[in-house]
Amino acid sequence: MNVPHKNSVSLKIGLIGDAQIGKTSLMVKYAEGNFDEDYVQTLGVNFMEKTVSIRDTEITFLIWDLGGQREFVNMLPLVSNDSVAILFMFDLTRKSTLNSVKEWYRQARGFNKTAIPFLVGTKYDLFVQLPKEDQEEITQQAKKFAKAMKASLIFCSTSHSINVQKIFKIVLSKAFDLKLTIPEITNTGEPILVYQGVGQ
Amino acid sequence: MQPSTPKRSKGDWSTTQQRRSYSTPSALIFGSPEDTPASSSSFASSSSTGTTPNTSPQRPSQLPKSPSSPTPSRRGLRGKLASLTLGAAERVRSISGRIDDREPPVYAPPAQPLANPQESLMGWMVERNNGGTRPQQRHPPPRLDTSNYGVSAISNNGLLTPEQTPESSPIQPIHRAKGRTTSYYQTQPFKYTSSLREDPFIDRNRNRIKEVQELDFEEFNNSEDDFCLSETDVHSEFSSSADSTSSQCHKALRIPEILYNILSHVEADVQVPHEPPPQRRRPLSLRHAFLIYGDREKAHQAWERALKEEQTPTQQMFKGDGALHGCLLVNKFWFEVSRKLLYNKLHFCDSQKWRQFVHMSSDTGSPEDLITWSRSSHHRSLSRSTGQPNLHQLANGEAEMNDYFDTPTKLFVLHKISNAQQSEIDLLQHKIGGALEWLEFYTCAAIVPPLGLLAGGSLQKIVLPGCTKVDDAFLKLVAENCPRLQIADLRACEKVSNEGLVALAGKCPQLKLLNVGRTQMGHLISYRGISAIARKTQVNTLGAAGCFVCDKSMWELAWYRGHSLDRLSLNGCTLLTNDSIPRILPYTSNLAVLELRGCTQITDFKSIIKFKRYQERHKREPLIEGCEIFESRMREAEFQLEMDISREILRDCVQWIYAPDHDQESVRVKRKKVVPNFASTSRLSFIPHGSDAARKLAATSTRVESSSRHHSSRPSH
Repeated sequence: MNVPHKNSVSLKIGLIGDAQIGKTSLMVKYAEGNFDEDYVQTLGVNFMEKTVSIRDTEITFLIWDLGGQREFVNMLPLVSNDSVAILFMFDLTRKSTLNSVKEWYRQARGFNKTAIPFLVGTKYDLFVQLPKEDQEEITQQAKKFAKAMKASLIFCSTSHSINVQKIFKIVLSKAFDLKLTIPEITNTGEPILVYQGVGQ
Repeated sequence: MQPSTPKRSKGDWSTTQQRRSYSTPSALIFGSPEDTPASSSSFASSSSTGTTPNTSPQRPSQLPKSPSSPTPSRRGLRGKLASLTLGAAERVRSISGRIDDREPPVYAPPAQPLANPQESLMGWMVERNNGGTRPQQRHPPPRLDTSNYGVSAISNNGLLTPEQTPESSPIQPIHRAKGRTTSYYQTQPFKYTSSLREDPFIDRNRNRIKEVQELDFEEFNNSEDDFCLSETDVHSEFSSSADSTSSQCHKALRIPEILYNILSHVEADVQVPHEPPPQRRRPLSLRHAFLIYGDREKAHQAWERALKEEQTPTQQMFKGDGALHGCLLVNKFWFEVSRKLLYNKLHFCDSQKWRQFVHMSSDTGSPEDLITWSRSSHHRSLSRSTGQPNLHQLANGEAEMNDYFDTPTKLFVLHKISNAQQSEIDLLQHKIGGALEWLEFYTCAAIVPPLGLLAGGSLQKIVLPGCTKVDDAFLKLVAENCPRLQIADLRACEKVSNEGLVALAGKCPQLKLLNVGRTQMGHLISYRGISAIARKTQVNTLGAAGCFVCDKSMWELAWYRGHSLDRLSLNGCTLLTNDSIPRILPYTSNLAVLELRGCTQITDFKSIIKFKRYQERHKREPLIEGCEIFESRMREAEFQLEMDISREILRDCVQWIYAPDHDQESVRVKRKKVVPNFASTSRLSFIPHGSDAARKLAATSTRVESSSRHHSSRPSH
């Protein structure tokens, strides 16, 4: 009876986006700390759980990752229903993946209107090697999209561990309306981090 | 001519054969023709039990056109039975529900030779039992039913050729055939066979049973049946139903032990009058209901229910005691056996019947006879004859009092017989008492159990709520005579004081339940009595409502009985403070019910809520009940607790967010295959109404919990 009991909070997070943009990699990276260059196609849905313990509280992220192939769209409800946040992900080096976010967003919103949307660009490490004009164009486009979706915008690199933790911290702060003072990054060519005043 | 001969002895067969010649359209008798082939084929397969002595009227294999049944595969034995009790089919339906409630039925394989007689026996009992309540049918008149079956019974015993049989039966309405199919024999076999097989005494009687199995129908039919009720035996009112069919009863049913065994199953169904099982207490007000249930609609329902209960006094009808009384009417032999069973458990909830019972028993013999009356005779042969039973009395559930107490009475219950007199109890005490295990006078204010009822040493349960005359002297008597006492319900026995409890505690170490709750004279029960009980007995349920119980006695209880305590009812124990209940809870890990209505000094709700939460995490749901003030304070405390927790969580979250990012945190990682235990994460069951953040926090955590139960996917990556 006198054994201290930890408070616990769990949040379900859905990862959605086109094939081969690194959803599963991000999940594995965050949950296990590994990064694997090899591509393994996700068949259906992946699920991982990550628990962070701080003092008296355990925060558990339940991460659901949907395969990017169109045939798995029928599993979208599994991922999006009851999610606290949905990460709409695209490949920063492929403009087409950003364009299809529109469709993903539309579909996911159909199932869950309350989830906090995030627009996450992956492979930032490859993105920085692109010509400046391309970077500029993609960044502007992504900002436009984020604004339309009322979503926070984050560029990340799983292989180089850029902004991976930040994504989940921002998710948590958004979920609980915590005041956050992490500095934003808005300049083209930098790992964009825009979250303040979004979606209010 | 209508087949209206109500009474027939065996000599009447000629008349039945005459009657048989009335031709009736078979379609009318036997329902829709398309059913017939299926049922007839199944008969052939299921009635392969050639050795089974056929006591019931029809031999299905020879009756291709016999009434069809939707459950043909079970039709065999049960079909025979059903035909015996054909008219009872509808009546059976009413009783079968109750019978079906018993333990999972063991299927009686058709090859079991004993299955048939027992089932047909059951048919008898059911038919007799419900004979009175059966609704009137237009045609044929009810009293004809059994004689009709008698006809077919005889026809099956070789006097008629099978081809003639269908026409032989008088018109039976189709709906009756339907009713037959719903009788429980065809769907719910009893467990009688199994119980008989397991019973050691069967071994002893194996020879007899064998003999029974080898019986020939002819012989059976022609043998003189001593057990048949002749018309002189039977009150004219019953003679019509007690016709010669009763004489067809199987020989197995004439073995007293077998019949006793079978009937004891009927008796097991009899409901002893009791108060309704303890449920949640009624809310004291609408507001209270709202506090308890937390849901406006539920609260309104509960409150309306409470109001309704208050208006209508809980006058209960105890059904089920009719079955044995019905068995009394079968024949003399059955009468003997069922009477014995009836006297095993004596219970009255009707003061008129109680009066009658007392009257009858006081008629026989002088008081000296009663006292010196011997108990050793209960192993006497059951088939010995007694005087002519007065069937009219039997019908009312009463029996004559000759030496009927030759089996020890184990249970004696007077339920709300407020005008029972002490002199009546005193008169009967030595007849009833001696081997009692359960003695209950439920709100019979004027009487106290005399010594004779307590004697014997086997008494385990004394229930005397509202017997205001019960006092310490009585408890001392109990203590001296009932060393095996386990349950002592002395609610509202307001003369009982510490003195009595000390005596009881000293001599009844097996005591498990004690209830001395009261509304007056609470000062008579205090530390001295409770501590004696706590120290010396195995008490796990204590009712001390309205007593002057102090913190010290609660500590004593927790110390000696701690983890075995199950229920504590301390309503109105105003002396209790925060120094006891909230602090003993860590030591009473199995406490399931804690009633604290009116304990206004207890304000440390945090400990109580912590206890409740802890128990809930361990899949136990303790019921902690208080009055309106208590509940509202408890809600408030719960809310405060939730807010504290939320604040803690948010504090920790912020700390984590501002901690430097590092890829390898000290974390627990689970892969897909591990199904997370969401029950343990359901920390926030109560949604606080405080800050936005807290509310959101609680909402998300519950939402996630509910969602994640149904994750199913194709795992791979």
